[in-house]
Amino acid sequence: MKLHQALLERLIELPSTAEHELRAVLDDLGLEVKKVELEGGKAVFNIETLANRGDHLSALGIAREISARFLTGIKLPASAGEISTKKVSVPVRNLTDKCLRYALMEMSLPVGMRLRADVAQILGSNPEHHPIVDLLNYVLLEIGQPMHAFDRDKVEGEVVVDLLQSAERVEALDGKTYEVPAGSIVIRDRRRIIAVAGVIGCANTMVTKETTRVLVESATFDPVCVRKTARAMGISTDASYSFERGADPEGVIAGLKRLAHLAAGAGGAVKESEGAHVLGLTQTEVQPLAVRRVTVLLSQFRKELNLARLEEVEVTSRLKNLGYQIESVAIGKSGADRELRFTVPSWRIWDVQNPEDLVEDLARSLSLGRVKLSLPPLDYNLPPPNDFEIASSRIERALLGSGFHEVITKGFYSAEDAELLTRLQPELADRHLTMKNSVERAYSHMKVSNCLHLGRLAEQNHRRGTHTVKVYELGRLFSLKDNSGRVYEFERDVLTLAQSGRWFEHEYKKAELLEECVFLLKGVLESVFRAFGQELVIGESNHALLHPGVQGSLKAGRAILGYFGLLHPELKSALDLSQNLLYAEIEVEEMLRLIKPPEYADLYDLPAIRRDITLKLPLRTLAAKVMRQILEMNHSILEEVSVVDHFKKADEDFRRTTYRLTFRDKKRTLEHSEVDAIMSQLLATLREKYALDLA
Amino acid sequence: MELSKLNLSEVKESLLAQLKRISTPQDVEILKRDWLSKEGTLKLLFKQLRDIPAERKPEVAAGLNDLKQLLEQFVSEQEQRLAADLREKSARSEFVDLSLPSRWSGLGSVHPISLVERRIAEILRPFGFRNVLGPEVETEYYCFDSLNIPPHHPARDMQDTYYTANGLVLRTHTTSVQARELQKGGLPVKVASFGRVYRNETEDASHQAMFHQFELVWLEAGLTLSHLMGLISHILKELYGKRRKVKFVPKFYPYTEPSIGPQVDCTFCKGSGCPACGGAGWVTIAGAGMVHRNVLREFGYDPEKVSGFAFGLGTSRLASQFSGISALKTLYDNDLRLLKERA
Repeated sequence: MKLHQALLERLIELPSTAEHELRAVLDDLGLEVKKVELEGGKAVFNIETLANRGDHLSALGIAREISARFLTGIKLPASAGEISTKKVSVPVRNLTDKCLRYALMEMSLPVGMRLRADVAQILGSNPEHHPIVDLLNYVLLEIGQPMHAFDRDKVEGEVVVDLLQSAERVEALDGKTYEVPAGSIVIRDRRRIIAVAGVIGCANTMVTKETTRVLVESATFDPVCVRKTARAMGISTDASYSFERGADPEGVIAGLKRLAHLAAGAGGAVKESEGAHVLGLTQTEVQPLAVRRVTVLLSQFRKELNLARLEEVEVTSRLKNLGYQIESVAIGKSGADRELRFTVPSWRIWDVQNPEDLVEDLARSLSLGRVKLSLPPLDYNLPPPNDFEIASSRIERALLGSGFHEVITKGFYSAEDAELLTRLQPELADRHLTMKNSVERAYSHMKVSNCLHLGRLAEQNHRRGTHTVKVYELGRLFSLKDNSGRVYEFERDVLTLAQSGRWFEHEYKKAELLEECVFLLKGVLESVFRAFGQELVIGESNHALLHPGVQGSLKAGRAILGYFGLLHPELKSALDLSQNLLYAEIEVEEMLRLIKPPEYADLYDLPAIRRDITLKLPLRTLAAKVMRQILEMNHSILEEVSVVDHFKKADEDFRRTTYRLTFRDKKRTLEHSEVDAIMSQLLATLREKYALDLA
Repeated sequence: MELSKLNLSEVKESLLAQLKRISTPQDVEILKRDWLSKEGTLKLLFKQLRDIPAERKPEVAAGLNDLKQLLEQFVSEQEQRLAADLREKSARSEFVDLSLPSRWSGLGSVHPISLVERRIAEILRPFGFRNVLGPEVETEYYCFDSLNIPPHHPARDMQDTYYTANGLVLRTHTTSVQARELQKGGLPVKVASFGRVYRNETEDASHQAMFHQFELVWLEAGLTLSHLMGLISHILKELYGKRRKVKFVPKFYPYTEPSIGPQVDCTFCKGSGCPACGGAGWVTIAGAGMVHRNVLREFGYDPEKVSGFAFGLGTSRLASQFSGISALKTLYDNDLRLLKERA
């Protein structure tokens, strides 16, 4: 909203004429100044008003705030006295209770009517407008009453205020055609809609420079109704903005009187010889306004603001300047407290309802800087950390030391991204949570996987010259079908990790091979699992977004908690990645469920006997699976099985894996013969059970 | 060499003269081979000792032992010297250029936004705030209706909302978490929530469709506006430093009444007004207010008996200020050159 210093000065004596001091006052009153311009040596403040304060949309409303702050009086703008009781030349009917008040004033306009120069300067008037239209705008800026003028000679028959039963198209003043939704308040004449109430007038009755007779509409419309209509039409006008925030019902006649004064000539805003004449006024049945009263104890003001010595007179004088009528009643035996009964002014009926509104008004007029601050009590009953805090501290313990950086990516991606994933994993087609109204095309689908975001992030970093990308994100993934039955049906906390490019920094050494990076990342994942008290087990997997030959499930015991592997070549190609991307997803809620404290046990130093065996394994038989099978043979003295060598010749369709078996008894030194016996039994079982060839 | 014919003193003299000429490792090896090995001279002389008459044996044996000791000590000293020479030579020849870049990529880092969140949680801890989580995909009830923002209220314009195809919304503020907590009932309610929020708007350097917020709510009998302002002032001074100025301006939020906007003096102009603060000299960094009685009633609290306040701020904006980053967008670019600096 534009606030003209020149206009304000006509209503109140300002505490300062310096632009920066005025600005500070306005800011402190909650009228946030976005920009200041100078016009003719006076400031024009571009103000962002509060969404609940329709009364702030005029110079008068702001003058009231200044008046309450500095306890100075307001010079109300001059108005015409009583307007002719003669009715307008058309009958007027109001058929809806969504229109609280409706009045039409008929005026004759002299040819060549011109605005006074000072008024024209404030308005920056448009030479294409009839001056009466400029005056309507002036009244809106000055006292906040939105009004509209119809060319009387274009209005046919009676004027009716009604609710639209079914949508209709209209051509508006701005030359555009709109569809007005059913339920809107409209103004009709005998044949057609002539205005969409509170929003915009129609071209069919538009005032032009040739207009000589007008019907000026002044009304109060239901804010919600106006808002629905304006939103449906996709339009916001000064009038709709004002009505949506609540216009002053008493401003209906006040606005017309002010206009009549301004248009009349003598002392008004047009040259005297060019003054307009009021021909008549018709009001539809006036709905009496319910008087709103709010009661607040003086002690309540004192307590809220922590101002024990706040005087009653200060409270009442400030709030009277905001327009409240106040009755003060002593209460209690000693009369120490006062009950202040406030009658809410008509321009505040939309927002003042409770004692807190009065506290807010008083605090604003005093300045919040006068509130005496106090700190609420401390409480050292420290609450336990939540799941996210537990998870992030454990994850960080594992990842920061390994050089992983936390990143934050957007929660959504585009339809094209969703389609890309769905091509590889068709069941994702009906798992995406989609947006109905995304402004940014790139944000139409909530992400079901983080691999696209992390892939793009890695590539961007490579292009910026960062060779080592090791990142993680603790965030949410969204899916329509997964996890149903949970409190948060569509979302779950997931740890995602990615590694791309070199594992270690700097170019003067050779980059690590993919396989090295795979096993380095596996080590990092093991650390993450250990941070939750779990041993990572890699299982077989068939994750559609990962490379079919370089992937595995991440298991703790038998529970699958995630996946890990090389990004699927199709995705790598689609994302135009210059480097491989290793990607992992871990379900955090599942991890938290399995969390275990660390376990410790005695260590033994009696000598161990170690035996190595080399097995020929089919290509896709997991080394860990065989290791687990050996351990599950359950020999009490078999302490550990580890892989000590692993290789594959180019021309062979199997690979050789050497396992080292460590035997140890906790109480005695073992004999080689007893280990030999176990080994021969074990080899026989391996050969028989898995049909493995011993090398 | 016949022992019986030797004058061991002369032999010693001659040996001493010879030893003075020994300097290389090869010389030492030859000396050891000639004198101290199994076939060496000294061994042969000791073998001949049995042929020496008994009356001379002690004298000759002492002479031989003297020679042996001389040689062994000499060899030992020479070996030590030579080893030391070798080490020194080797040390001189070996060189590692430690000025070359390290290969270890260093510690990872926590995102600046997470750091800010933790700092705030730390400041709040002595007051007993519990950190709670909530869904990002929300119902309109928790996001708006329960918070005194009915449909078609102008306040809904303040928060352009993403609507999902199945009738939900992406939360526009973490206040929705507050609503869920209030619904659980009981007193006192003292919770803080941190997280992502979404606004359906065109992105630019300082506006993002997803960003981060923090919000706290405290409900208890007897809490006042003065308490709220005191707590905010404490939090902001802890965050920004004791020397920064804090002030409050009136604001409007549908779920609080009165509503206030805490401001800190502009980092750049310290309050005098500059382009960075739009000439105001102050920057609004948060929103706060006393919980609206309609919200209290919605969740079954009696506004005549219970009061409370809520306070929220954009942790993304705070993180960008603390990191010296001018554009919010940079925080979400995940440029590792920036993140590493914070490691």
